[in-house]
Amino acid sequence: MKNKKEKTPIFKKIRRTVSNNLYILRAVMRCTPAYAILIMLQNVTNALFNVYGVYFTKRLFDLFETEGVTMGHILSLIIPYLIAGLVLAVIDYYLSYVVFPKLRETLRFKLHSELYRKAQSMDISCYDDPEFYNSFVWSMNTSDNEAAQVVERLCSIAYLIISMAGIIGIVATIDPLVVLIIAICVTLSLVFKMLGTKLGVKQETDINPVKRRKEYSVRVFYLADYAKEIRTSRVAKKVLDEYELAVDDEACVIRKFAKRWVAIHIGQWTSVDSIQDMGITLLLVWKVMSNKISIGDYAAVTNSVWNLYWNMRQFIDAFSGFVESSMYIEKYRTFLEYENKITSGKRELPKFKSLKVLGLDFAYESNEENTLKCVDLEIKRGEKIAIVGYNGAGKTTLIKLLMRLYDPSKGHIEYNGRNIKDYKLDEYRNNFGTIFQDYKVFAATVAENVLGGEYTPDKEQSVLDALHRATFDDKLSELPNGIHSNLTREFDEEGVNLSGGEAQKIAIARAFARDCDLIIMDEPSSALDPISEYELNHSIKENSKDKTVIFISHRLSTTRMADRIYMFEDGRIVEQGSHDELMKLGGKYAYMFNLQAEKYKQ
Amino acid sequence: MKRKKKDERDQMTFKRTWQNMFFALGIVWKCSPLRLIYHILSTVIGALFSFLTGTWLTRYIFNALQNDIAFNKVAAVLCGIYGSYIVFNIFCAAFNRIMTPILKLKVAKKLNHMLFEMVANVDLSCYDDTKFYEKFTMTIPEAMGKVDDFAMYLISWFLDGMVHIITNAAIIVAIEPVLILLSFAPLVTNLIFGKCANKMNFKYEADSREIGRSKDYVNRVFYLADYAKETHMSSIGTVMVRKLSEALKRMHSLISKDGFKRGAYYFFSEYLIDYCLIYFTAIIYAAYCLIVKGSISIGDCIVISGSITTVSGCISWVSDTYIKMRENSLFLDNMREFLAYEPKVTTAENAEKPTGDPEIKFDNVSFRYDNTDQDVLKNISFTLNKGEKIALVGANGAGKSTLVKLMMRLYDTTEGKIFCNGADIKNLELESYRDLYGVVFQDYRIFAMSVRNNVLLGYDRDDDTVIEALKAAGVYERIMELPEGIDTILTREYSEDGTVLSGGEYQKICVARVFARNAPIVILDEPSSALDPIAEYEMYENLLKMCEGRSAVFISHRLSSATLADKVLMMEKGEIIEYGSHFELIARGGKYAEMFAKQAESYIEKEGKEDEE
Repeated sequence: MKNKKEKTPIFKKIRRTVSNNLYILRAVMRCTPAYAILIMLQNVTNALFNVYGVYFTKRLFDLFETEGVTMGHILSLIIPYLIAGLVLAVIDYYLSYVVFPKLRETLRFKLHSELYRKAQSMDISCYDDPEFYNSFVWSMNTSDNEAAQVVERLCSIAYLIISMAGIIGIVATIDPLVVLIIAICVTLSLVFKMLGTKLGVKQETDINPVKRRKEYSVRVFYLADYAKEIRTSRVAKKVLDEYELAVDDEACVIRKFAKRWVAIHIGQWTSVDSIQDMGITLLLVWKVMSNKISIGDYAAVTNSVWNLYWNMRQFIDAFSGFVESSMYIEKYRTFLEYENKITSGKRELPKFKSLKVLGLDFAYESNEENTLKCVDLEIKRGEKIAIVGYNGAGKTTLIKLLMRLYDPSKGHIEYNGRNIKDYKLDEYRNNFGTIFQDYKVFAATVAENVLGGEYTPDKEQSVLDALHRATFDDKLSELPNGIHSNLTREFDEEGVNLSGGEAQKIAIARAFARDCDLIIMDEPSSALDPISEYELNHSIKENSKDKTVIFISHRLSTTRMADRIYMFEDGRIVEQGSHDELMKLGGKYAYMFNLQAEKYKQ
Repeated sequence: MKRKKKDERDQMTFKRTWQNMFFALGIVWKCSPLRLIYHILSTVIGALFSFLTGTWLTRYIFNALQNDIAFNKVAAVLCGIYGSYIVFNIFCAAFNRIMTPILKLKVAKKLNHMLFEMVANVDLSCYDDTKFYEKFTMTIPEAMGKVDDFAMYLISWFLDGMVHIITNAAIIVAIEPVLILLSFAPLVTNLIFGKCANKMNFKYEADSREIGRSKDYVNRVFYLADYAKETHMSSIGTVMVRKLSEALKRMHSLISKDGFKRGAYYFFSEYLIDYCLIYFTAIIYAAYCLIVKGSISIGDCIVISGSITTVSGCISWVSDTYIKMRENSLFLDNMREFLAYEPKVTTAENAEKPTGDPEIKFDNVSFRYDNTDQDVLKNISFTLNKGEKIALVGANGAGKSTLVKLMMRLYDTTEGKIFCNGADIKNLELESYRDLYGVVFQDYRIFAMSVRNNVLLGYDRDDDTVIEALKAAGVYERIMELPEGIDTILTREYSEDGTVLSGGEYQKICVARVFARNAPIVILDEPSSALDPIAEYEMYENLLKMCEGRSAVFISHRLSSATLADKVLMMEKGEIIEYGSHFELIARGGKYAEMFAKQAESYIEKEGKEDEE
C-alpha cells in the first residue's frame, strides 16, 4: 500500500520534470530560437574537438616512439590540430562575447515583457497570497536565467555524450578496465556528494535561525534608522550581547555536525580522488612494463582520465539540474498559467449616473473574518462622499472593491443599476481617478506620470491643467524641462527628486488628468505641512466641483464639505448622513469630531 | 618626468595593497594565530603535494619506464607518495571541518565586537555624510567576509600559485632552461595590455550595471505590491515596457561595441598567447629536442609541456589574485579609515556629571551640516526652564528636529553654546548628559528583544520598574496577555514566534521607556503619520502622561497639541520667528495665529465661519 503510494509520485515527478523543462524550452524557442540552435552547434563541435584532442595526444606520443620519425611527421600532425583549434576558438570567442550576450538580453526582454503583461492583468488579490507572490517574484527575477540554463544544460548533455563516447572509445581500446575504475569512482563520489547535500540541508535548517539573529544585530548597528536610539540609550550593549550569544550558538551547531562532515570528506578524498589516481597509474605502469601498451597509450590515458571523470560527473549533475530547474519552472508556470478570477464583462461603459453597493460582504483570502460586512451605500453623480472610521475599519478595502480590484464575496456593486461585472474591465477602471494613500511616482517624465501612460503632444494642455489644479505650478516653473523633466534618478542622473508633498501633488494631478467621472482620494493630506495642506484642500474642493468624489479621511476637518458621510466601524457602516445630521445624532461621528475639534476651540 | 610620477603612484598602490593585506592578516593573527598558521602551512604543503603527485611523479614514471626500473620499486614510490598525500588530506579534512569554522567564528566575534563599539560612538553627523555612511554600511556587513575569508583565500591562492610556479619552473630549468622564457609570455602580455584590458572591462561593467539598474527598476515596478494598484489602474505599464526596450537597445549597442573589443582581446591573450603560442611551441620544441637533438627523453617531453602550461597558467592566476587583492584593498582602505575615525562629539577631559533638575539654555546657536554652506539653524536663543513644556512648530524643514538633536548633543553646535544649569554641555560627561533625556522619536524603533529589554534599553533596573513603567504607559495589561509576559520577544525580525503588536502598542512601549528611565526631560517627536482620531487622542493621553512633572519639548505637526504647551516656539527657515504662550501668539496675530486659524477653520462652528466671510 505504502509502496504504491510512493511509486506514483516518482513517476509523476519525472513526467512533471520533463514537461516543465520542455515548457521553458518552448518559451526560449519562441523568443530566441537562434540562441538554442547556436549553443547546440557550439557544444557539438566543441565535443568533437575534445575527442580529437585525446586522439591527438595518443598519436603524438606514438609518433615519438616510432623509429625514424622526422619533424615533418610531427608537424603534419600538429598543424591540422592547431588550425582546427584556431578556427573554433575564433567562432567561440565571437559567440560568447558578442552573439550570446546579445541573445541573452533579447531573451530576457521578451520573457519579461510576457511576464509584465501578465502581471498587469493579474488579480490584485495575488499580491496577498504569499506563496503565489513568491513564485511571481521569483519569475520576475530569475526566470530568464533559468530558461537559459535549461538550454545550456541540454546542449551540454549533447556535448558530454559525444565527448564521453569518443574518449571511452579511445581509452577502451587501450584498457577497458580504466573506464570501469572511473565509473566506480564517479558513482562513489556521487554517493558521498549526496550524503553531503543531505547533511548540508540539515545543518542549514539548524543554523539559519541563528544566522538571522546575527544578521539582525549587524543591521541594528549599521542602519541609520537605529542610530539615534543607540545614542540616546544603552541598548547597544544589549544588542552586542545578543550577537555574541548567537555566535556561540552557531559554534554549537557547527560542533554538532563536524564529525559527520569529516567522515564524508575523508570518504570522498581517499576513496575517490586518491585511489582513482593511484590505482589507474599503477595499473598502467604495470601494463607498460609488461609491454601490453605503448608509452603513447599511457600518456593518452593519463591525459584523459580527468577529462572522462569530469564528463561523467557533469553528466549526472546535469540530470539533477533538470529536477532542480523543474521546481523553479513550476513557479514560472503557475504564474503564467494563472487564470484571473476578475474577468472583463462585455458591455460598453455608459456615462456615470450612480453607484450602488448592495449587501456586500468581503473577506481577504488569508482571513477567516470578513473585512466588510453587509455594506449598503449609494453614490449619485456629482455627490461628495466621505468615508470615515478607525484604522482597519475596512475603508480602503471598500474603495478597492469599488474599483473592482477585488470582487465581493457576497452581494454586489451596481453601476447605473447594472452589476459592474457586466462592463468591460479596463473601461470601468479607467472611469476612476484615484489618489492612493501609498501613491507612487514613477521614473518617467512629469507628463507621463500625470497621464499614467504614454504622452502625445495633443495631451499637453490637459497635463498642464491637471498640474495647475493640483497646485503644482510653482514647482513646475522650477523644473528644467517643464513637464518633460524626468522624475527620480532611476534612469536619468539629472532626474528630479520630489519631496513627499510635491510627489503627492503629482498623484493628485493624475486623478485630475483623467477624463473620468469618479475621483477617489484615500487620505491625500498626510505628507504636507499645515499650510500646504490647507491650500491643497481648497484647490481640490474648487476643482472637483463637477465630479463625483469619494474620499477617505482621518482628519474630520475635510468631511464637512461632504454631501454624505459614511462612518465605518469594524467593517460595517454604523452611521450615515450629512455632517450636521451626524452631529445632531450625537453618535460615534460626533464624538470623534469633538475630540479633534476640542483643541481648536477656545 | 610624468612617467616617473605615474610609476610612483602604481608603486604606492602596490605597497598599499600589501599593507592592507597584512593589515587584514594581522587582524586574523590577533584574533586567532592558529587559524593563520594552519591556513598558510596547509596551503603550502598541499601545493607541494600536488606538484609531487602531478609533475614529479609523471617524470619519475616515464624515466622508470624507459630505464627498465623494476615495477616493485615504482609501485613502492607511488604508494609512498599517495599514501602520505592521503594522510595529509585526512588531517586537513578533520581540521577544516572541526576547527576552521570555530576559529572563523572566533575571529568574527572579536572583529565585530570591535566594529560595533566603534559604530555606537560614531557621531550622528556621519550618517548625514553619505560618503562616510556608505563606507561604513559597506564595511560592517562585509567586514567578516572581506577580512577573514577573503584575505585568507587570497593569500592561499597566492601562495598556492607561487609554489606551483617555483617547483614547475625548477623542473623546466632542469630539463631545458630555454623553455622557461616561454612560460613568462602571459606575464608580458599582461604587463603590456593588462591595464588597457582592465579599463575596458571596468567601463563595460560600469555601463552594463547602469543599464541593469534601469532594468531592475522596471522589474520592481511590476512585482512590488506597492505599485500594483497604480499599474492596474493606469497604463503606466506601457511606458515602463518602452523604457525596458530602450534599455535593451542600449545594451545591444554596448555589446556590439565593447563586447567585440573584449572578445578580440581575450581571444588574443587567453587563447593565442597563453594557450596556442605556449603549448604548441613547447611541444614542437620538445619534439625537436627529442627527435633531432636527442637531448631529452619522452618522459621529459611530456613533463615539459605540462609544466610550461602550469607555470604560465599559474602566472595569470597569481596576477588575477593580485587584482582581486587590489579590489579587496580598496575595501580595507575604507575599513581602516573607519577604524581610524575619531568621534568629535565626545566627553571632554575633566568632564562633570550634570547635577540637579536641568535647565537648558540655548545661547545664540547656529548650526550647519558638514559640507553644506547653508545654516539649518540661525541664532537660536531660548531657555527651557525646569518643568516647562515647549512646543516646536513650523513647516517641514524649518529645523525643528535639528534643534532637538543639538539639545541632546547628537550634534555639536557650529556657533553659540548650549548650557545645562549654567555649564556648557560640551564640558559635561556625554553619556550622563544624554541620560537626562527620555525620547520618543517619530521613527521610534522596537528592537527584536524581550519587552523588558525594549523598555530598559540596556539600563540596569529591576523588574518592578519595568512593570510600573508599562502600567504608567497603559500597556501593562496587554503585555500580560502575552504568553511570556515581559519576557515575550517582540517583532518577527529573527523568530517566527516573535509577537507583533499594533503601532499604538509599540508606541506605548516607547513611552514606557521614558518612565523606566525616569529622565527629567522628555523629547517628543510627534508622529505625523495617519492615525485615526481616537487612536490619536489616546496617543496624546499617553504622551501627556509621560510629560507630567518633567520638562518637555515636543515637535508638533498638528497645532492642536501646541495649546497644551507652556510656550510655543514657531520656527521658519531655521530661525525662531515667534515665541510665547499659545494665547500670546494668537493675540499677536502673526504666522502662528494664521496657521492655527487655517487648521481650526473647519472645526469651528459654521456660524463662525459665515461671520468671517
